[in-house]
Amino acid sequence: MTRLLIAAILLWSVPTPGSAQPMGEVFETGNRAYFAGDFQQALESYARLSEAGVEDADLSFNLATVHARLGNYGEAIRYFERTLRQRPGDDGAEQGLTAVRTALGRRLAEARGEALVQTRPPFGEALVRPFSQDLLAWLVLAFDVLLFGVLIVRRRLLGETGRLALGIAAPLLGVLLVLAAGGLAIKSGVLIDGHAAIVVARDATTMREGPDPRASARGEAAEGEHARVVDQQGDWVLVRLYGGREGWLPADDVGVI
Amino acid sequence: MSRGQVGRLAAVLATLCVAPAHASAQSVTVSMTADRTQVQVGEQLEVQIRADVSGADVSNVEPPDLSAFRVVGQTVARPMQFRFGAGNRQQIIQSTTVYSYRLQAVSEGRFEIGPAKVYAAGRSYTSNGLTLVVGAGGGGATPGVPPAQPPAGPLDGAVFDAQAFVRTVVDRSSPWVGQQATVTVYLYTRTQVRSSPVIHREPTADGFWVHDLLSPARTLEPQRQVVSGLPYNVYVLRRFAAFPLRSGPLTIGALELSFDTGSVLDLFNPQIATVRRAGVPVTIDVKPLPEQGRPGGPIAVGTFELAARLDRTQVATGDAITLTATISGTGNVSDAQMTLPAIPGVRVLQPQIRDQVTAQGDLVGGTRTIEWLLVPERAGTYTFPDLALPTFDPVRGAYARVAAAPLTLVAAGNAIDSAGPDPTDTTSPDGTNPDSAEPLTLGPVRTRSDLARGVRPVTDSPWFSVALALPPALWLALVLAGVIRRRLRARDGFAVAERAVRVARRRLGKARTLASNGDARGFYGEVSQVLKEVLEVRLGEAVGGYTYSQLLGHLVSRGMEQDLASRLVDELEGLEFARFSVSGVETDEMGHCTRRVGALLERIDRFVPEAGEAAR
Repeated sequence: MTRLLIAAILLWSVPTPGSAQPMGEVFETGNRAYFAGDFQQALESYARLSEAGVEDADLSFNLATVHARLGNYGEAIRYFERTLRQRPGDDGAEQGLTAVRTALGRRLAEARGEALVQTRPPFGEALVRPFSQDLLAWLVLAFDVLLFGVLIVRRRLLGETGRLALGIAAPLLGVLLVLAAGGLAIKSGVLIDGHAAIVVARDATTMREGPDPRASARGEAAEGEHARVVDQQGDWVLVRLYGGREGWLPADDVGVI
Repeated sequence: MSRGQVGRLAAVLATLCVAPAHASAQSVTVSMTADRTQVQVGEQLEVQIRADVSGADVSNVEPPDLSAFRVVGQTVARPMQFRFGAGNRQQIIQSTTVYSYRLQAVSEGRFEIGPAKVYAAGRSYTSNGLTLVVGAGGGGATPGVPPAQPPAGPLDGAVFDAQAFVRTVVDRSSPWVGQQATVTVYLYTRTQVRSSPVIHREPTADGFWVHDLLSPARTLEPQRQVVSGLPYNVYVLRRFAAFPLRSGPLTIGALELSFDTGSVLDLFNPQIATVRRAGVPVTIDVKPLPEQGRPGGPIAVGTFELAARLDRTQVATGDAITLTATISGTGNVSDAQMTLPAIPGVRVLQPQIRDQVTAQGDLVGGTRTIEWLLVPERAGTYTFPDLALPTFDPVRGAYARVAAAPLTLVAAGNAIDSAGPDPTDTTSPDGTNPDSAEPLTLGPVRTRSDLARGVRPVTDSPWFSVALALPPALWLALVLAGVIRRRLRARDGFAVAERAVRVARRRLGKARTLASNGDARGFYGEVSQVLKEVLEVRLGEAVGGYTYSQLLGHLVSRGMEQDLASRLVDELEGLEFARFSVSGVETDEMGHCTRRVGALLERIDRFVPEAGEAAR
């Protein structure tokens, strides 16, 4: 416990790269700037922490909020999604995500006359959305130990009643193990190519056949759209949008969750 | 039931519902619900009055006037809970009292049931009211039918069709703005519907806020009703609460659907047909809220309670605290709006709002939670003004004001700089508002964070794979060990048996020596012993306890051929007999015996016994 406390204190006071300012102070600076209405300054402070390797749900939430205040709705969606990945079920992030998607839809509709904003993840991801990857991993491990523990005990057990009870428990635990393992596979993304990402370019960005601005256009990707980054060449990334559309986009136009 | 009887009933009920409680934090919620709001004459329905009381005594209950119905039964249930407050120093008693009335409709019409009254801690609390519609009866309806029975009487909201038609029923023809109207869409058909109907057009509800009352996972169950002398199967397709958002005529649009009728199993009419039908729009006249006595600002229509609290009452300047207001009750809780008055010295950030909409029976209500983040900028004691919510009770047709108790906050520390633009302002730095139509409702940033660096997922830890593989590996190892152990045991058993046969052959040679020396008793004893020992080693069990007939049966049960078992038992019996009657025995006879036993030993050597009781 003492070691943990010391580690936490050290971590809090570790200076960020490029400056001697501890991380806690940088965070406070960002907060003060936000409450003073200087969203750009707040964004820079939070971004410094993110670049320094901080991967914390509260920092992601603040980044999302500041981006939303600045009108960067794609980035805001990206960081709200990241918050939910780091802390599933975060009410504030869920509400922020809804608010930003609504605002984005309104802005796109004003610009184009109509807009379709994706609000729900695919079915499989929606099922495991409330659970963290670590929780699912622990569940898999627990059911694994229980299942094979039951099988081992059953081999040693002589009483018929006990054997019958464990014989019923074993298939149930097997089903739970399969469900938890399936959820873990979906959550960790091992079943799908690439990394989850969000199109963050303001307005629409053109997808191309190859990683070159002169390549033929393949269509458009709208701000806030969900995507999977499946390849990268230089400053270009190959993305696959929900619905199967695929094409190359400038790497700056896409943010990995 | 007369008004006097109802009064006496109330007095009896009131004496039953006295519950001891220590008034610490009083909270009383009263609601009235019905399991169905549309019945026919002769049918029964149940009305429940529920009083949830915390920290106070219920001194009296005054039920509404139910004289339009016959009260055929009533029950009282009073589950009670004890809860301990902070540090177990504060005891709060929560009690729930539920009065259930089983009513029977005696006459046709639309009946407005006024609110029930509950008296607690010297104050009276009223429930919501109910509107019950009683049809003319007939149509084969019987008591106890499921809810949402289509109303009988004039066929409003539909165009009659002898085969099938869609009917839209609204339980109120002229509600107030914000008052719930319940809309039900029925499908009337003369035949059974083969599968779920395909909805081509949902009923529009422009100008309403709607809440579905039916579960999406329900199954279509037909009810029977006679219309114009024809029996129909009636299916409930849609049922939702519609809250008018503006006054004037508002229209519930027509639903359009198609469905298949007929069955391939129907010998008389095996053809399957698709029927397409559309309903008719239903217009209701929404009344504006009365001007007389109308308070300023937004008004919540319904019956609501309001509670407020601070997460801390003492705070350092610059630190954020949360003020939470909770509005609960019946009505469109999502429409309840509250603004926090400006408090000099305290910065108020944009609130986070959470809604939980629920429906008890057909009555929609719920809870709206509003959380403001407050940042005191100067030291001092702040007394927050009363948080209040103007409401309009559509049943009584009167305005009311619900308020929460005042709150006090003590802030200490240095004053902080409050210069700069308001962080709750949604205007972009470039001066344009990206959300001109509606503000972007975002909560404030978080002021505390662990600032944790990236934590590697458990699945990426090297020990995870090992831990995952360990239980199945252990189980597999145990299974394999069991198999190997059984095989080794079997092999050891055979080795022992082979060794025993070799020893037996040597001992047969010794027996021959005894025979050549004329020691017949010793010969037969030795041969008998050799045969038994080989048999016991092969079987893995002693055979001394068996009689010869039992031994024969046992050998056969262990899988020995009948012929071999008979010869073996005969030989043992003969040896035993010869051992005790040795006079006159020829040497040749002993030689024959040696050869017979040798042959038996060979067959025993090839014999593989099955698992017996002992082996198991």
